[in-house]
Amino acid sequence: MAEYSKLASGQVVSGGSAIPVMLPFQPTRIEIYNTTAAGAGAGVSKALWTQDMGQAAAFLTTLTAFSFATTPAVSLTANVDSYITTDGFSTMEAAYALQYGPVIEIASVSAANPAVVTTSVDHGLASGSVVIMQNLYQTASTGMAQLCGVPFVVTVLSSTTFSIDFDTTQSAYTAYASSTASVQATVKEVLYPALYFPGVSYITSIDRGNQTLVQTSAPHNFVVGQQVAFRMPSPFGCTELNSYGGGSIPGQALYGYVTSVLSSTAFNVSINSSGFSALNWNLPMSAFNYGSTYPQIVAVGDYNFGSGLNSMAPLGMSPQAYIGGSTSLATFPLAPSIAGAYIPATYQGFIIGAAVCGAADDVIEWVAYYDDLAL
Amino acid sequence: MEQVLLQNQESVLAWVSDKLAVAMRQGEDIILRDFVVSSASRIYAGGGSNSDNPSNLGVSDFSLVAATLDSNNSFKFTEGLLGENKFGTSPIKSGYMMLSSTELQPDFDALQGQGFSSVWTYPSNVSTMPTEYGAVLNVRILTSSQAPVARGASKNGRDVFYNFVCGKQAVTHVSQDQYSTKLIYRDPMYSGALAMNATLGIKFAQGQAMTQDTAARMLVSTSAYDPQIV
Repeated sequence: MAEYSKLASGQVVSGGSAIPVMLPFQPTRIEIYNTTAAGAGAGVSKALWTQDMGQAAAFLTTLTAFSFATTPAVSLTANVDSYITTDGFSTMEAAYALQYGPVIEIASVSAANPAVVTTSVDHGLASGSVVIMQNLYQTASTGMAQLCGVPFVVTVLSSTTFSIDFDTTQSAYTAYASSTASVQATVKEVLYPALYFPGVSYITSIDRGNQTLVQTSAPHNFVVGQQVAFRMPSPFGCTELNSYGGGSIPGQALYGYVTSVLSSTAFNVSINSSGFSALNWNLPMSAFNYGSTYPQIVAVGDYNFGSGLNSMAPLGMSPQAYIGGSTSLATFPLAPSIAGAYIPATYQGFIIGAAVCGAADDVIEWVAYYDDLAL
Repeated sequence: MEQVLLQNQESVLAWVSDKLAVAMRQGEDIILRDFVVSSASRIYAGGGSNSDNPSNLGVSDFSLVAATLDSNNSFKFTEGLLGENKFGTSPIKSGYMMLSSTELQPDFDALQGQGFSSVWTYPSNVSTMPTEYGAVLNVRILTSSQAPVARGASKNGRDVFYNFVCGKQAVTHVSQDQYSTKLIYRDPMYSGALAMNATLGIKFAQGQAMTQDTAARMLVSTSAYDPQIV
């Protein structure tokens, strides 16, 4: 039965957060060996996973130092085996866009900066996950429905709380509590936000200056040199970023280039916006009662669907994306050959979770199997 | 010849062939669908009356998206259709094409008399396509059951429909090898160590690319109706 099995191996350098590994298959068995941790005698030196353990589990070996206050003192390094069911290994298959996780009820959302969301049950999210929310009404005229449907990257605070990088202390926003709300608000994860990238990103803040510092609600997936265009609807201000500004028509764009990437949700664009009007998210809920287009930034140009090695390198930019909840950009090794913006990322493979990915700069050897027969 | 004979004679093989062929082309269509969803900047419908964000489609939304594309110097796909002396027909403006969901057809029907023209009220059906449902102002509408929809993603939890509206220069495709989709399969061979794995793959008939971002917009909407299609 050897014709059905698959085996792959490789090396990654940890960024200190979850590491996505893209493969031409979804593994049924994974092994990793952290050579940095083994050399230092501390940390998770190896970890294993089989599909029967379930998603996010891992059997891991942690190097732990013991000291005995004898004379002379004795120090030992022990291999401690343990089993975890969260932040271990998980497989991924991004095959279709617009997939969502289960709907979870929201107990409250604070009026704070950053806003903190509390769920009624465990949310099951990891920092870096992207979510959308619905029905954030306290009453018909209070709450924060402005944020409904906008994809936000989350920072997990506990099993039932997470924060989103948005300031809800603005006067048009009021805290939400389901106990007294007119409607039950919900949240759900966007499973594969980087299915195609860079995609369309929603802008949550703009710092004006010689360069324009842009903050997006979810990972933007831009790289330095990427050409971009703004779509700024007039209620949100800063419409000077549209070359055809004003009115309700977000028209032909003023193009700029990404000059530096500061984080998964922040980057600088080569447009001098010093004299432009400010971005204003402090809009009343009533402004959204009959539809309201959000401020967006989009990539310009395209990659074709070719899958050969990037023959235009270094002219062509290597496509990169934030996937699998990682805060580090993952590079797609088989870059298309026409420079531009969009490439498909119908990826599959596995994610080395936060509990087994080691510290930043750790070198990890991995082996992934797709077994002939799993009983 | 052999395949035709086998299909005629063997029902299971015919069923498999049918499903495989559909899956190959449908897979290609879905990739293109998701590609444009992720590429075109969005205009949220606000001309409807369902108090959602986005709202259901109103005539003003078609007007806005057409005005946006016109302002961006987009090329329309179709020429206008002049009125003819036929009962129940009306002239049709030159048009951009909109790819929409079959689930929105009741919404279009509800715009009858407000600007929507069913394809059967065109003065001529010479330039219509089998999937064309009608037109509103400068937008001619094609519907598909495979159109993109985000379930329960609106402000109030309604399904969100992504209606791709584009001019001629927005998207292109490169036909490959005489526009043929191919299934590639090679048996595992045991004669040598290098060929023990089987090979199974698909070659698509075309590659897609966005060519002009300003000539494409995603008109995002909800429906005026609660889900009725089951």
